[in-house]
Amino acid sequence: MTHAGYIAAGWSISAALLVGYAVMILLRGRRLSGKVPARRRRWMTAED
Amino acid sequence: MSILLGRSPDRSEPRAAPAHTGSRTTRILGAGVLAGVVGLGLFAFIFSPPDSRPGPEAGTRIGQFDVVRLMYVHVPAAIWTYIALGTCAAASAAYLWRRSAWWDRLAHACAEIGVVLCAVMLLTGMIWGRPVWGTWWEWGDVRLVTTLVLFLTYAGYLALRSVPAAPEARASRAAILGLGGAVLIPIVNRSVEWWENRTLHQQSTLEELRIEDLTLFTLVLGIFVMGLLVLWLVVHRFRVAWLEAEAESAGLQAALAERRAEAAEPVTAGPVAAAEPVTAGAADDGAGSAGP
Repeated sequence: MTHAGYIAAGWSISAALLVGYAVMILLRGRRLSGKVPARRRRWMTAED
Repeated sequence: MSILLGRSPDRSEPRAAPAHTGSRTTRILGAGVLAGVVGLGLFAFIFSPPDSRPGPEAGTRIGQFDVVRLMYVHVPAAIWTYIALGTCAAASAAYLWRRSAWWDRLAHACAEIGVVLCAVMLLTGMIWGRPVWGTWWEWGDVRLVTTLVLFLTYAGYLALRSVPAAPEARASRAAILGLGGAVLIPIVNRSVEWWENRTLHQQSTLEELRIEDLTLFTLVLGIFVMGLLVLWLVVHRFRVAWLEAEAESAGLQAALAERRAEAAEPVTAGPVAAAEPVTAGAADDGAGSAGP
């Protein structure tokens, strides 16, 4: 494979950015869910 | 869209609320993203051929060779950047028209995701440009510079949102910037045609690559998988924005209730103070804790 270093760097950086951002959102959601009373977040139900 | 993002708390029946932003919809989307990423990886690295075609001289071959595999990330990131930031602009316009928090939160979610995708587009473009163009970055290139301006504009949008202000004022300011910034989207997209002599960038990847069947399929698969990921991110980010607003509101209400409770409490006076009239100087020494 030609330019393997560039390809690995491009895919790795993209994956790190996107996965990192996704994890950050999930953690923020969990943290904030603890601060908001359940009746104010009842639109987020497991049945949705 | 509201079905995906969630119902308004005022319209739904009370039900158990999980301590996270996930739901059945997001789990299905997430499973689709994971399966799509595996499939994309297989096609991008194993099944699709390198970009190579006969050169002008006999026995030579030209093309991007294996570095074309970066296009399966770069092009989907570019397309979904335009869509995410375009949706931010549309939601901003809807907010200015309807003044609904729902549109404001959707605009916020799309802007943040658009900025992340724009960063992916810029970085993969730079990494691709080094072996193909021989340079990481060219300041005179209109496509590169307009894309950077687009990124900075919406990064500024996110910074503006973090400035402390009343929620309505903050949403209005952000909506104006979110809507105005969208002018850059067609400029970035069309820059390679409008200023074709001032860019290294090819006009259209889909046209310039002289795409083989499997290359085209992999590119379309990448666009589809990135779309699923963006939808998953938008749903979660929208719900986080909702929770942020609720937490801010709950914090404000708690502070107000505390202040009211303080104000309602009678000022207790000690035996000495009860026996003596309170002077102006004594009040300044702490007796006035009841607040305004």
